[in-house]
Amino acid sequence: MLNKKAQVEDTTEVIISIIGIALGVALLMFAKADYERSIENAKESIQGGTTISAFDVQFMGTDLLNTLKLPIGEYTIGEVIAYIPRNNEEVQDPELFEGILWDKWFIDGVACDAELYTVINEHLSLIYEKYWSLKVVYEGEEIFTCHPSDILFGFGPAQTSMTVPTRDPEKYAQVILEVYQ
Amino acid sequence: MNRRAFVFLYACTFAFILAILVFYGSVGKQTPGGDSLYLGEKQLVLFETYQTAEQDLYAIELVALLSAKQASKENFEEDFENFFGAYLKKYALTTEDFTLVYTTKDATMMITGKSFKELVYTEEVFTYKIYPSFQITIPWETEEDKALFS
Repeated sequence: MLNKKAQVEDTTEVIISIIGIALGVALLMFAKADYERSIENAKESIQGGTTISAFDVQFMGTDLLNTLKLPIGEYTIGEVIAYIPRNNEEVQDPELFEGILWDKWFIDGVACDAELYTVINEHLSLIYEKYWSLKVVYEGEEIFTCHPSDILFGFGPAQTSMTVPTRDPEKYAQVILEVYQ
Repeated sequence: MNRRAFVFLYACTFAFILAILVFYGSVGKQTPGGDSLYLGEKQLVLFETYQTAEQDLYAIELVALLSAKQASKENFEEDFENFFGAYLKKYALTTEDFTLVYTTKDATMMITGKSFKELVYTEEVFTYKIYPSFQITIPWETEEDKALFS
């Protein structure tokens, strides 16, 4: 049988062990709660108070590409954009630009008419609601723009762009999709 | 417990804590692609590369379509390849890198192109390679079609 001194030492060790375990469990629980709180904070800061998630913003490049593939009459939107620089100042392809798809914009450029806007909006509003804006820049000038008439310009914009060929093999246009948050 | 027995207990405790620190300290290095700044960093880089490649493939298909619509009907194949070659300079490709097949059927012409030269996208942790290809169809009314529908 253990003597008195040894029994006192064992009791002390058991108490210290219980306190140590309790502290360890509390520390682990705190770490887990802190990790979850950090993730929630990150999500909130990225979303910026809108319903457009950061995840969707990462997919903007794919959304832009799929927008250009949308059919409009016998063409695709990408193909129509390839013809815009040639028709920007003076219409060269009337079958494409007069009365079918486009209205002459009041600034130096063209804008989407109701038909083209509807096609683009049906695709983009599912993800970006009324925060999206599509632009074409050619030789440093904005020659085309399309966005909802009641677009809410907010923070940002988050944007992605891609290069699209034009009728001239030497020159390319830049198509930009902007999303305001 | 006597004091000698405690020495062994301390050694075990220290070794256990050290093992945990070594394990969690090297988790990032053991992850494929190396340590990440945030969750999904490497996956996003990979995905962005896929997006860029997809956009280039789309652009190549579009330049094929634009070339076909600009080529004259009298000397179609040569004209098409001249235009197509001029467009392909941007992607460091030539028409010789493509196997082109022209098929006419039902008043349309289908052009199929497959490249045997890769587009290469080099990132810090991986290299992505893809062979571009396209298939386009344009209206193509032959004399036989005209006679058939007249």
